[in-house]
Amino acid sequence: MSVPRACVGSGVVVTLALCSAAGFAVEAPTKPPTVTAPAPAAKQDAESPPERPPAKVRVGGYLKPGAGIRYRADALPKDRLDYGFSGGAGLSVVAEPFPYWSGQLKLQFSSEVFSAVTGVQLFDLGGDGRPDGLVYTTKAVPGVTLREAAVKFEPTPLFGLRAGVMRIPFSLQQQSANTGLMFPTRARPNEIFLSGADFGAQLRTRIKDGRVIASLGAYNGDSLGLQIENQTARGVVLSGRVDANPLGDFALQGGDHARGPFRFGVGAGLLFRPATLFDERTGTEEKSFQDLRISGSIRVAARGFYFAAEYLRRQQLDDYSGRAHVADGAYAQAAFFFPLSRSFAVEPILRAGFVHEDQTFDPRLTGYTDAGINVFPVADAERPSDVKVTVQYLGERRFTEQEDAHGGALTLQLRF
Amino acid sequence: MRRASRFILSKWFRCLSLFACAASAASCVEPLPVGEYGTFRYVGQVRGSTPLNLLPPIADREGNAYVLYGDKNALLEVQLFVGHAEGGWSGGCTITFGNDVGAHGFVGKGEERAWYWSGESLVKSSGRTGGCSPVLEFDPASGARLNFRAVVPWVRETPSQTILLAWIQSLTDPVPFQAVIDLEQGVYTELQEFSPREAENLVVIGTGGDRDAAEGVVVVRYTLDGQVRTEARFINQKGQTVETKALPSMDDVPEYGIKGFFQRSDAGLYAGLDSQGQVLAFDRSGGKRSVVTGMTPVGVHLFQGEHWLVGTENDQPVIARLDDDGGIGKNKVWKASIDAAKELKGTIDVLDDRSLPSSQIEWKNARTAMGPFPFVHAHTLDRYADGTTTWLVAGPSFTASGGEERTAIAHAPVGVSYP
Repeated sequence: MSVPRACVGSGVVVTLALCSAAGFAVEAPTKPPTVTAPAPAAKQDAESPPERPPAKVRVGGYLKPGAGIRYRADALPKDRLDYGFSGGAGLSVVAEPFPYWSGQLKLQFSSEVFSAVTGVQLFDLGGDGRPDGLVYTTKAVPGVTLREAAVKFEPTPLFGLRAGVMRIPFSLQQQSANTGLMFPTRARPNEIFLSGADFGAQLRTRIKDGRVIASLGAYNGDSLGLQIENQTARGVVLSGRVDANPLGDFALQGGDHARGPFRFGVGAGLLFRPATLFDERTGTEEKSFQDLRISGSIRVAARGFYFAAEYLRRQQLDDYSGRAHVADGAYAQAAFFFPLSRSFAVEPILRAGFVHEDQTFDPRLTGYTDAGINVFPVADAERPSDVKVTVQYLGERRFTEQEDAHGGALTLQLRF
Repeated sequence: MRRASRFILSKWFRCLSLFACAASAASCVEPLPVGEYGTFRYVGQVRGSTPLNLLPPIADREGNAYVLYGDKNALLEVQLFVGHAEGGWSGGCTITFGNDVGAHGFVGKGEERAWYWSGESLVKSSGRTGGCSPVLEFDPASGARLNFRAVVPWVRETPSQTILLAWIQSLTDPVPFQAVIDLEQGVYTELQEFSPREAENLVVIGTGGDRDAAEGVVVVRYTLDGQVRTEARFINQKGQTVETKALPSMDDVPEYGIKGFFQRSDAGLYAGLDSQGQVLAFDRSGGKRSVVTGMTPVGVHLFQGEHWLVGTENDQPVIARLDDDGGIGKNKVWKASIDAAKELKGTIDVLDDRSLPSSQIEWKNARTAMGPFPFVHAHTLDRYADGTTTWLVAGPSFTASGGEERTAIAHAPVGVSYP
């Protein structure tokens, strides 16, 4: 008797060891820390508390109202044309109470976070007193999700430690904030492979002003999702990512709003979760489980032009089912930011991608096409995307099922 | 360009290249070796002794397994077992209707569910709960009981709808109606009465289809003006008949006389084995029946878009490829089947997870539960994973009270190849 096998390498460890062996020099920080350490309070009265510089706290957030429309030609008449308004908001609090120490809290508000059961009714078709089934009604209710709640200790850009709730920096888009995206939402391939925040801790290094950025972390794995339901997973997610930007760093946003010089970068991420699964109902049925994900990306930016492409792959194996869950996907997106006047800029945007799921047993190929334009009415702000209006087309092509969907969306983003 | 070339020669690039190599090396997946089994899971006990009236199991997208006990011709009872992907079995569904014919087979699967066609009934089963319920048992318009005369064996599941194609008929209808069955809503749409309406003695010989090609086919025989006609009717996913093609006479084949379903190859050719042991192959240009020689044929399978005729010869499993014109190739001993049979020699470990927590037991003298050899069955095998299908293995048999013989069966993934 045997089971499918996967050879899982320790890519992260290998890479970090190689990077270390490559002899990257450890440099002193080029800029002093923004918050200086308090001076010794030798002359202070012994009974009075030592004075501390006031803690720096920044409160920010964003509002993102929008409206959208979607058309599915093959759907039931009720579902064929769907349209309405949507909205989201976020709140961010960043505190720097001590030198090198900071904390960040990000909350996301949405009008439809949870689906709540609002009514249950048994029905009896035969009138024999025995229920033949039940019907229940659900309603989407508003809610708040925790996007980030992390403590950071960063004495130098060469070494940083973060712990708490955060996105795993596995892919390019996972590293971007909700307000730093080229489109109002992340690319669908990215969301299918990894979504949301996770609990964990992360080591990070940033060398030569971001020409090399690497991170290594351990997480709970809540954002990975499991292909099998009613299972409890016990196992830490190990993740690593390396980005090399030899001509200079990129801002963590989908665009080149600074209209900087020519840069290009490559990156790769690896995520590995060896876990043990247990049946939720009984707490037994121990199964060995492996989840491996890899990503690779390239980026190019120059004078307002920005291009990024990313490939993602996932495979989940266990010693019980004999079936490997394998999926891969990719997307490419491009934008060109150009001001029409000092305070007004536009940015045509284009994105195409695909997801190829369940490859080993019932392959399903889905393609996505998005196109539109970002308008920046306050382009001379420090961050042009603080006020951004996006008009976009959204297309979905289910190649396997031969079904299309088309949509449009108008989104306004106000960041403060 | 110079900066780019400098980068390619740099340590960073070498470092990233090694990272990529390590990642790609880590991403290989090996299927089960041919003939080797994965975890045997105890399904339950069924009536009879080997070979049992079982169909090759299927699995839905989530990995829930469906095992159907029943037979189209010999048995008017069915029993469905559902093996949950996370462990445990439930079910016991016995829905079937009609006294003329038993289980036709599984006709589709989707997200956490599967459908089977038995007698006059179409039945939906849930992989999550193991429960089942008939689909469109009664006509929503008239309240009359509906007879599923023909069901195209695929389910199209999209964000918009979940549908299949069928011919339905109530007791008062002279001929069946072709319809798109909305499996979510439990309604039929695109209803079209069989034409010509004056057709008499209408019998369905067999059905087939290909979900990816969005096409189904029903082979039907009827009498019109005293003349017997046999036709293949091609249907698109909108429930429209797009082509009708006359076929060679099949007067000697009874209703539902095709073993399993017609299989459609990548070349667009349909093929099936009839009850007379002849292969019927056809496409939109016509068809032919071929006599099989050199083997006792059991069924026509589809594997990676090609047709294979499987059977036995000299107490060995044999297999022959069908070409794109329906021609039968030379028989070969089916090594994968022999390897799978050998793996059952001695003792096998079976996980009894019918109720949790599970336990491990041993079976001696395990053997294939259905067909003369592993993989040799009238129905084509399910694609469980790359190079892997699922099969049923028989364990201990015993005589229950009342003298009824019962046999334990186990389910397992197994590596398979067609020569």
